[in-house]
Amino acid sequence: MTVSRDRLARIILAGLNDIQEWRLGDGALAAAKGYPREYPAEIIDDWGIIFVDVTLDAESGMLACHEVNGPNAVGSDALTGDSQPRSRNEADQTIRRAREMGFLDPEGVLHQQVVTLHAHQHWPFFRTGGEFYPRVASYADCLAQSLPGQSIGCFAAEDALDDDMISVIAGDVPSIAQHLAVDDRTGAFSYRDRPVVFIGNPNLLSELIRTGKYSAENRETLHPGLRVFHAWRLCGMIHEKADQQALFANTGIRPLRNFIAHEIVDVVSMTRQLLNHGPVVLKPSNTSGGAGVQVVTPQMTDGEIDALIAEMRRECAEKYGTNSDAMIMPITGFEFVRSTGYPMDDGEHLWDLRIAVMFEPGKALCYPVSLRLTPDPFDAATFHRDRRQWVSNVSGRRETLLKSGMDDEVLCRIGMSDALLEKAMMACVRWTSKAWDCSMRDGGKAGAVFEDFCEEVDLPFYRGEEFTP
Amino acid sequence: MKGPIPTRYPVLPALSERWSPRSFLDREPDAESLGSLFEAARLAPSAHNSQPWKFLLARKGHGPIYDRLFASLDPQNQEWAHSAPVLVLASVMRRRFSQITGEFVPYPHCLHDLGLATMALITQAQHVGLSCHALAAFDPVMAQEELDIPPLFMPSMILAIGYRGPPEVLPPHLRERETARRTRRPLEEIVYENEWGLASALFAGKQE
Repeated sequence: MTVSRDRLARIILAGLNDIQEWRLGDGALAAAKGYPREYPAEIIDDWGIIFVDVTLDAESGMLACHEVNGPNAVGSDALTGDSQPRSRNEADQTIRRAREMGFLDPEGVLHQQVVTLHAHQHWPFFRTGGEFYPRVASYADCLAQSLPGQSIGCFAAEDALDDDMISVIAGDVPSIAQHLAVDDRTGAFSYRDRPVVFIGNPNLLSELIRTGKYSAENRETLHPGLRVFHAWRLCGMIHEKADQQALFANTGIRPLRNFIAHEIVDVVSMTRQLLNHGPVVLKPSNTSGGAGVQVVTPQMTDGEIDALIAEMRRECAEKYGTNSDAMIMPITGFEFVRSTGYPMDDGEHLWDLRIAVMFEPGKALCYPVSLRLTPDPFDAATFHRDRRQWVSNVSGRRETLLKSGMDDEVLCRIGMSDALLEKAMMACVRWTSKAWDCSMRDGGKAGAVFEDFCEEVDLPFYRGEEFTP
Repeated sequence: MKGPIPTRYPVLPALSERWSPRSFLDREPDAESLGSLFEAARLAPSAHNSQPWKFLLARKGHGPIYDRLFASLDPQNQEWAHSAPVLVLASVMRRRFSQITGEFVPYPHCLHDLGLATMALITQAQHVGLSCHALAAFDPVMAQEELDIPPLFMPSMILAIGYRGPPEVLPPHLRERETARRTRRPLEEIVYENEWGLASALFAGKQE
């Protein structure tokens, strides 16, 4: 697909209420501002992309992060109007994996028909098609450039495969997962009986866990079969929102207080403890798009908290189907961060700024994606009754609630200086390096890499080490 | 052919029977045996569980990497290492990533940790009937550049691996070394007790 055909498709999708984040793209402005900015990241030895949702705490003025999202997240076109760099990044990983798996020889000739999987959110109809479909098309183009002479076909999840050497599959998570199988012995993924060399969305793993095709333990220990996932080392970390916060220590972004409740019955008591520091946000695991997220205020009774948990489970069951309880545990609680206000006609809106960290062996490329505003202005007295006052990533948001992360006027309104944004991006890269290292050493469990107190506090373990923790 | 080195205490046969040959059979190690060497290395301990080792595997006849790695060997090693069907470049992360600072910090024990992994590899090789010869005489700068090894990693040694071959195929001066008895210092020279230089009484009266 060419750029002009992308545009036509996007205009059609826009008529169906698709989010038009791509309209924020401005290649000349991005170049003038030096985006994406390159940072050394020597510990990283593979490809991937993550999206870090940061904000500025109105009370302390410090940077905070709501959560880190994996490659399931979109918005990589908000910088230049297309996702070409991300597609290239995905294709580079694909080629490396195909060689490692013995399907591709050094001359670029495939000896086996292979499949790549590109899944979007759970709904058959969703609102980020303007980013997703052109990215998949661009990915296929990148493969064609790198592997000339190899036939490449693009298919929907419902389609039977043809004779192409590479089949690029696009569709929603459940439809793709339906045809996806995992070899119990090797952990290798296959799709319609062909080996899979790339999977672009970690939520497919959650779906396989939900449907009993995959063991959650394999994700936690990072089974080698997971190497076909984009940003595969972070497959576990992406859904462990509390561990994510622990990794923000000493990055420049303040970690949020949090708890992890492994049993539903523990959620109320743990929430009650955290409420001593102010309102608490409750999040289910393995979900996306703000599904099931609830806020609790100190004034609420235990019965009201129970009711919110029931509502969380109902929402997740509605979105993800039966057995969704198996995927939403553990439930995590976080201190609520009220961002600085973004002034609009109807009042001050809360916001978060999505920052992309795209990485490849040895380096990370970082850029602001978009500023996302809550649909309704914030009112401290009523916000707990209205998610639209405090959740910015509400699916179906109006395009007027999206602002460019490169717009100086927008950034000025929220108090985000150039220096602060640079600090935020460096913090995101540092987080990525920490998460990568943590995952390499212990399969993705933050905090579990330490064997003793000395390692935990990271004292100068050996006399030759001279650094200040 | 050398036999087991005499020991005063029983040790694993893979240790007492191991030595570093210069002659290898023209026979490629089977994948299962070769894979087990790296599995053993993977299990080695390291400071902070840093696992700083990376191995670059070069199998003769499996692409140009073997010749490029071989070219980095010093001439005296090239004289015999050409018979090894497998060469492995063992490299190590020069600095350690600190979870606390989020930055790299000095890692003075990196070579020690690589050594632990390499010894595990060598011992496993002996266990599965393969032999290893560790080579420090190579050009690490050339290897770094020619093999596109990132600056974070230091090429540290090359391992020649294969099935032990007959000494007769070696030139006379190497054949002599190949058949010479393996010698090691006695325990009294390497283990002190109570004060530096005082051989431990643990070994008094212990015969081979």
